[in-house]
Amino acid sequence: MTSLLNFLKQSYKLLSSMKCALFFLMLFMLGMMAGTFVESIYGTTFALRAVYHSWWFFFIEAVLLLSLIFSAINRLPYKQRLLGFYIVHTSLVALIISSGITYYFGTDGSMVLAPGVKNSLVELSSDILRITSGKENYDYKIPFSTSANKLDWELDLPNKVKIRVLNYIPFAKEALRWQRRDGFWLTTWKIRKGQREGSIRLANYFDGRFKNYFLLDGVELFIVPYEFYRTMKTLLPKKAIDKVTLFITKDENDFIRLAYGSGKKWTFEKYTMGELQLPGTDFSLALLEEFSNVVIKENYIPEKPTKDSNKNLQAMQVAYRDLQGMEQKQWITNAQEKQLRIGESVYFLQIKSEELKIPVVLALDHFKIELVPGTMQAASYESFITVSDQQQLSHISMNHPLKVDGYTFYQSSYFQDDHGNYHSVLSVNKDPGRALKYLGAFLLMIGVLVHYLIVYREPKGGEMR
Amino acid sequence: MKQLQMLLLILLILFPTYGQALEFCQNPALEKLPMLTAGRVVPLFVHAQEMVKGFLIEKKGDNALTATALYCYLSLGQKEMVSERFALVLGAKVKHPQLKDFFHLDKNDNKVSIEILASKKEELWQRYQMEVNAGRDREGVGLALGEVLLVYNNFVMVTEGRDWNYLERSGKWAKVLALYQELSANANEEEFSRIVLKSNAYLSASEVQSLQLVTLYEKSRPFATAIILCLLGFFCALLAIKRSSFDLVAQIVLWITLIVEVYGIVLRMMISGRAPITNMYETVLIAGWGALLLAALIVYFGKDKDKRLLPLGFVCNLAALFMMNFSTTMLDASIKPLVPVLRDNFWLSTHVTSVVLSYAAFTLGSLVANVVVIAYIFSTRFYKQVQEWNQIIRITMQVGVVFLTIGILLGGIWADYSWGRFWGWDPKETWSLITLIAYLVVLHGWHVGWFREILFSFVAIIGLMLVLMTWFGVNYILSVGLHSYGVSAGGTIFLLSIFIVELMILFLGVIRYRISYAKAKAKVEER
Repeated sequence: MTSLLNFLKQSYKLLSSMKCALFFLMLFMLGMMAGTFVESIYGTTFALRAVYHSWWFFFIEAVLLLSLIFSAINRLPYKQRLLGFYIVHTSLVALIISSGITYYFGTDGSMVLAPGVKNSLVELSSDILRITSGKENYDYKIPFSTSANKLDWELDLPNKVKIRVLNYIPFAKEALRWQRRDGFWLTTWKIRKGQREGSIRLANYFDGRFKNYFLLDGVELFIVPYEFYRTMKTLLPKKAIDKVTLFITKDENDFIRLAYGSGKKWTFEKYTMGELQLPGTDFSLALLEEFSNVVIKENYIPEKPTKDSNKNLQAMQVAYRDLQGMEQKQWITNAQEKQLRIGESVYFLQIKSEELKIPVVLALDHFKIELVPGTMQAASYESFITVSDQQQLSHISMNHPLKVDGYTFYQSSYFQDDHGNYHSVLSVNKDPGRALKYLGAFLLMIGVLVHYLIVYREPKGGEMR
Repeated sequence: MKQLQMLLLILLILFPTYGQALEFCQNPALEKLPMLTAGRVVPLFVHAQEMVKGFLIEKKGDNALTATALYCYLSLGQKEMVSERFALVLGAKVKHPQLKDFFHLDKNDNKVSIEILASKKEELWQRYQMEVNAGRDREGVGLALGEVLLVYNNFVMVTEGRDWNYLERSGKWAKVLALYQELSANANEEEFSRIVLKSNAYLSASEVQSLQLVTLYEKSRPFATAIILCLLGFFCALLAIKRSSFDLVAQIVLWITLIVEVYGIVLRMMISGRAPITNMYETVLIAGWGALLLAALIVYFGKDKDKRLLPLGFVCNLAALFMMNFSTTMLDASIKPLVPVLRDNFWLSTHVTSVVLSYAAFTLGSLVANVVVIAYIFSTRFYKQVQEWNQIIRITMQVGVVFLTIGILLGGIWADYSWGRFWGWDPKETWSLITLIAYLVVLHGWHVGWFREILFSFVAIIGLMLVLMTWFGVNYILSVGLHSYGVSAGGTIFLLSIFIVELMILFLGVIRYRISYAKAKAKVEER
């Protein structure tokens, strides 16, 4: 017991010493310098995770906090010439504690408002794995890290379904792998319906990314096995007259064959390059590329981001058993949802920003932007918002935030979508430590001034300062 | 001769516009002609210089062509004539390596002509939009693209006559080119000249004042005058150290310099309608002035009244003034509109001013430290005076720490008010905290016997490098990324040169210290 007491005494003595404080202040400085250079090379997200919100940085800050407290306590009883010192240290302690309160209990995120769409979800800076089944969402928090790590989670979903999360790569790069597989076929088609154009991928295998069917407004496309195609000539599928269906297959000589029609009218032909218009529709398609006898395997590897990469790609590998009981492995990313058939049900998986539902509902009524005349700079921009059930429009602009229910909404930025509509980006903030921070800041300014007033009013015989 | 006259006559008859525009544009009365731009009324010569600076990239031969005359020619459709006659190259400067690739330029080539810009303008615009959408339009290639597009757009605006306006009798601002085309159709050049030059008579009182302020500012050039005053002040202050007969002269020059600079600062404030601390140029201006003011306060109101600080104050101010007048690529002297986040005047004035004054204090102290270390390198006999100099350096550090602390706190409060967070580990914020903590370490360490005597000057020099990193380094080294552009830009060269010089001084100082330390040790052991 005495050795523990001794240890505590020694620690107290060490932590209240000037030399310890100065040493840790210098470490703090070096950490910050490293942080700015890391940010300059790898970007803000990476710098936050690697430096500013890392465990060792928090440790240094914790030691500095203790140093501030103990150094003041150690120099009690009260001496008037140390008044400035006491005030300064108290204020710094208040600032650090309030930062802690803000970090752990506050909300800091962003909200994107599309014109006319109601939103009450705030996107936070942490990430989750979201598994959706039917209407239910199951969210799992992903650890905050900079390097790839093995998670080895076992997740239990309803209906006795299990998913294993193997590993997680917070900063990932796509590294596709090709594997030879006879009989596998992936195609990319350019499609056009009326004025709209796009491209789709159809495969004769189902791996979560590629489908073997495509549906659009009364038109159906299917990739089918050649055996099935051959039977169609004798047994026409009963398809309703209002829907046009196209079956695509590859015959034994690697020619692409098509069967299309509706009701009882069907056409069977070989596909030759070029655009095919489905009769009775304004739908046409053309083959862009095909990959025969290979399977493109999705794969991701860790790669440090650069300052310019805005959206970091995150990837996670999961394992599960399919309908046949075989173990399948799939990659889940934050780029798009992945559909998986696990057991008998279908699940959608995606990595997303953690969302927080707040009791305030906002919708963007309209967005106003003014450019500086003769330049391409935005002079000012502001959002006009409807808040929850209120009738009047609220107004958010730079330096004029909106405060509702303890949350503050700031105009952070904006962007234009493909149709030219402006979307407003708000930064959402709830800071329970705010009052303490203002108090700490105020006290700090007072303390600094008090210190130098006392020091410079001393009679000349005193300690030389 | 007769043939020449014949030729001129034919030319004058065949191309009436050619001859007339020629005369009118050389009229010196054009310089002060009022013009409405970016919501302010300024004399034409100011706006013309601003515009022409961007797209005049080469002037072969030494024709006395003023910016105003060139602007006039271009605005009245004389683009081809003026390029030929005055052997000019109009275009834009291209410095960013990626942008040079875009135009297929050599590494050493940094100009692209207007014609090439015109042919590539769609691609340029698309590329720029890409950077804007990615949020990268204020740095690296995005910024470079924006600058080039701005120059091109300005040129197009000017040559299409959409830029130059004049004040009509009705009080409305109309385009000069429209009037010119209307009147020159009837060969009525005199009427055109008369109408345009009469603009002055129709200005409102506030517009006249605005015009006068800008003219006064640009013509009186207070910060160029200040250089001469500073040099004079430096020599007087230097002499005043040994001869007290120069005391009064030094004081007088000091106050005149400070007043002239205040005059310039106030004019800038009145013209721009805000406190003058919104860009690099202005921070250098206020810091230089602040350093001289602080030196003056310490010399005349401090405890020891050490006159040796005064010439160093002048040196600080001189350094700032040199940068302002001669580093025009790094510092932009023009008075421009503000981005939205800077529009709240109170926080702007207090937070930035406080931080800049802290830079002034630290720079002054570091300059003193440099003098101390350099003198020490040459002669250790100087060592005896080090204690006195340390006092002065310590005071500057204390002033700096107070202002920097207040500045950082105000910055946090401003950021919270504007964006909802006090602190975001933004590089500028972080480096200002690094600087503050460094000086706190020095001041605290002094109390436990660290950094005594010459070592104190050493750390003051290290402190300067941190201040420069915070002040300039964040903008010129960090924000453009470490791998591109940075090294060839003027700002980085400036910073790296200072760092190298300071490191050399430190290095020599440390060597001198080790030698004299070893000598002293040997002496003690001898006894």
